[in-house]
Amino acid sequence: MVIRLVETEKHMDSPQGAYVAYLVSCMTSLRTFSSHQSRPVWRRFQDFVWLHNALTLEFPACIIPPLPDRRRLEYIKGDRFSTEFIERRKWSLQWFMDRISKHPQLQLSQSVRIFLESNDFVRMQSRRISPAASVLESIGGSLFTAFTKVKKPDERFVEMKDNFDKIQDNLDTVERLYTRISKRQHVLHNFSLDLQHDYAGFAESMQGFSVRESEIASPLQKFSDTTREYSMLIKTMAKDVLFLNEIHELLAYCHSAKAALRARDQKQVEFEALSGYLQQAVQERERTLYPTRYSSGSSLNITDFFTEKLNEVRGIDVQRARREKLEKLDHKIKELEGEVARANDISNSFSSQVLKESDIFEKAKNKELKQGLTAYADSHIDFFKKGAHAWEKILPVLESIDVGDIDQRQ
Amino acid sequence: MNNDPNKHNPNQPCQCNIDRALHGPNGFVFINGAQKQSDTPTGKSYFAYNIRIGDTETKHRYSEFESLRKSLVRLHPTMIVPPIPEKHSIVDYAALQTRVKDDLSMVEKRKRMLQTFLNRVAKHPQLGHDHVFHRFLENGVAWSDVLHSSPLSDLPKNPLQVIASKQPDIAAYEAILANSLIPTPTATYTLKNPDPRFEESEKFTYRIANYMSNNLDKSQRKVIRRLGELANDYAELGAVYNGFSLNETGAVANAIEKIGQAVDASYTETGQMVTALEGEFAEPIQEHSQFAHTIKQVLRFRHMKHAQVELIESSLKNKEESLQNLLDIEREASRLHDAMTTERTIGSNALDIDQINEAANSHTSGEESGQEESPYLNNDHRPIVRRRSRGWGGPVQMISAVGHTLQGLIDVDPASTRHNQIGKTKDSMELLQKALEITRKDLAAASIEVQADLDRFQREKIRDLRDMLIAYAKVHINYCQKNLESWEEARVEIDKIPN
Repeated sequence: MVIRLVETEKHMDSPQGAYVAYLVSCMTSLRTFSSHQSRPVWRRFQDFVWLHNALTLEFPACIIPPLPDRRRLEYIKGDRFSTEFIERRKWSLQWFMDRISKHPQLQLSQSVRIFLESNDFVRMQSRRISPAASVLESIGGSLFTAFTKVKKPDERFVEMKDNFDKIQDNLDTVERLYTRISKRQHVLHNFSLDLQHDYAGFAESMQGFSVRESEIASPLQKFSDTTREYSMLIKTMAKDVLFLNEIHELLAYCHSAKAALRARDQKQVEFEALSGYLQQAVQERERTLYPTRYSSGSSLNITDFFTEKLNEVRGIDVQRARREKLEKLDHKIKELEGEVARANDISNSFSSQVLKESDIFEKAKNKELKQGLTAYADSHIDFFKKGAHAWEKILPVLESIDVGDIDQRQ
Repeated sequence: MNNDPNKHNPNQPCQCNIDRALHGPNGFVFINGAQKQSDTPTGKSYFAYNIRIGDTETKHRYSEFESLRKSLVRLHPTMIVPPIPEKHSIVDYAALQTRVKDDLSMVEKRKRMLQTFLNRVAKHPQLGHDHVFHRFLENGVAWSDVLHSSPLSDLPKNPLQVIASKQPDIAAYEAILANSLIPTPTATYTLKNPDPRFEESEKFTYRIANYMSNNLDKSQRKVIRRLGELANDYAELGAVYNGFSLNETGAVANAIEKIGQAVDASYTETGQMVTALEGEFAEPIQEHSQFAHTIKQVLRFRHMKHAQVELIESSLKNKEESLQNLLDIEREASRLHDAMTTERTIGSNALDIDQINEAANSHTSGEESGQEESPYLNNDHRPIVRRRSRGWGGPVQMISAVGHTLQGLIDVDPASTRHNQIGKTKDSMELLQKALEITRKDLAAASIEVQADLDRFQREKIRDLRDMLIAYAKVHINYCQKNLESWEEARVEIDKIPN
């Protein structure tokens, strides 16, 4: 599956306000699609946002590639229609589509198909894809925050946890390294521009010199031209250091991966919490059935004891109350058992999915890295080839400068 | 004078062993070392530079080089004496790219530039044969001895009293010029008949000297400084990539490692480029900037010689006029005297000799009332400094109004005073005439020598510029080629990453 953003178009005078549209074309051999090459469609940024959200809901265990930053500085400054900004955004969206098209699950998603093929996209958008509902909302889920650590890890969980810790560490290191490189490249970029200015200034000086040293004015002039040419090459290379942008993209992808890991952790936490809840409920039932068996020690006993005493005082039929309570508990336990089973399934499938995802991420990362490194190396090779050539051209001109009769030493 | 082996005739080469060594097959002067030495009385330390020519070795410190150069300038004011590295230049520190800003790098730079200085002097057709220069290179000769012996000890203080060109019997000529009768031009004297060719040279030299120091030198230094900073950046980036590669495995790790190596190579290559540019471009530019200033001074010297000729011509003309006046008075006086003696009348017709003399004298004095002071006929022969900014102006009379009136008052015998004055004036004129001949000849010779050295220098400059520019290009070619190699290697590794 190959998705390409081929064109951009500015729509300055639409009723909803000015926006930019991107022409998206797709070629695929997947059978879920109606044809090999559907007609290209126009999509705007908020359409990509819809796609991202739809995929996030549909595939909670997957690492959904990130969208470009919405709150970029230019956006705030109001410069969101500059050619540069549009180019960069198109580039990021291309990455987004590329990653989706290469992901084994995401590429099969209905949302993607709708995005790429639908001619009546606006109507389609209103169809809500139902998310896997969060069980905890019904129980009062504020107990389960993302920061709750996984309690009482089981044997099999320990091994899984190690795996995920490794993955997490790797992501952290990659993030750290990428950030460092990004910073250094930025510094180098600015520096190269300064160097370009200095060479240009030197070229100017030599030009002025050629006017004054009229005997060798021509070779000096050509030398000045060569220096200027070289300075331009430096400028080009500084701009071509696109590795800067690719690192940025990889970093963003890395963040998405980490988010997926966190989500997985959360599912784990939910499952554990539900299990704990279930266990509590079972214990309570036990106590209610056999109050005397648990007469020693626990604070729950005292509460029950007092509740019963209070009920006696109130003249409530203790037996009937106990029966009602048991019924409620049974019901609750049954419900919980179902939920725990489901949470277990979810957690397991999340974990295995995330494992697969991190594999996909690794492969994608390596591929993107290769792309980026290739371009990086190429821009350097280009600069050095052209640089050598420029100076080689001027050498014969300089060597042919006539020095006349050199005074013989007496 | 001819017995002193050190005072040789400048027209004949000294044929000493240094001279032979310099102009033989292995005539290159090497500065092959520098040692820190301690000046025991003051406790301060300095560096002594080892000099080798042929089989001879000697040592000198920087201040002695300075002294040598000054001496050469005094001995050969019409020659363009090569420059030496500047003293305590902050610019030198700024230009050095290494962070090690200590004696060592300064010493290395000086070694290079002093060696260049000695070889430029050696290659110069006149300076290379200067025996003072030879004695500098000799083993076992203390420089202070050279300073206190001929010819340096014989040089007149005033450079304009030096016979610049090669003449026989220089001592006699110099004696004439040293006479206080001979005027010396001020720095601001404007030539009445300037030589158009030298005018042009002066203008050009001023312009180029300024341009080189303020514009060209500055801009090329900026490039070198920036390259030095860039090198450091590459070093840091290389370290980051190396760390990066450790976190990866397989083909990706290899590729990133190779990139790290390419970046490290950039660091090394940039550092080497800086060093090469320093030695092969920046230093020569600095030298040529200094050369331009030296040429300014040589042209200035010739200009002053020319001024001196014009001044002597003026003085001579004025003396002639004064002489004429005196002779006129003489004639007048003797005519009157004859008239009186033939008539032999004493009486109302008698003329008062004194009155006549006074009248004649006041006639002379009337002409000069309001004139400037006589510059050179004063009894104690003090040289007079003129303060007028215009230099020589209108006719100058021999005797000031005041002096004359006084003389008239105390003078019992104006006639004999006049005779004295006439005599003195004639003597002065003879001296001035001789001086004029000398200085005219000297100016002509000096002009030829200056022009010849300018032409010679032009060739040297073109050759140097050619070498510098070629070096600049080659350094860059080398830099690009070396870097290209390491990046192409990296590219090969990147290609090995599986898709």
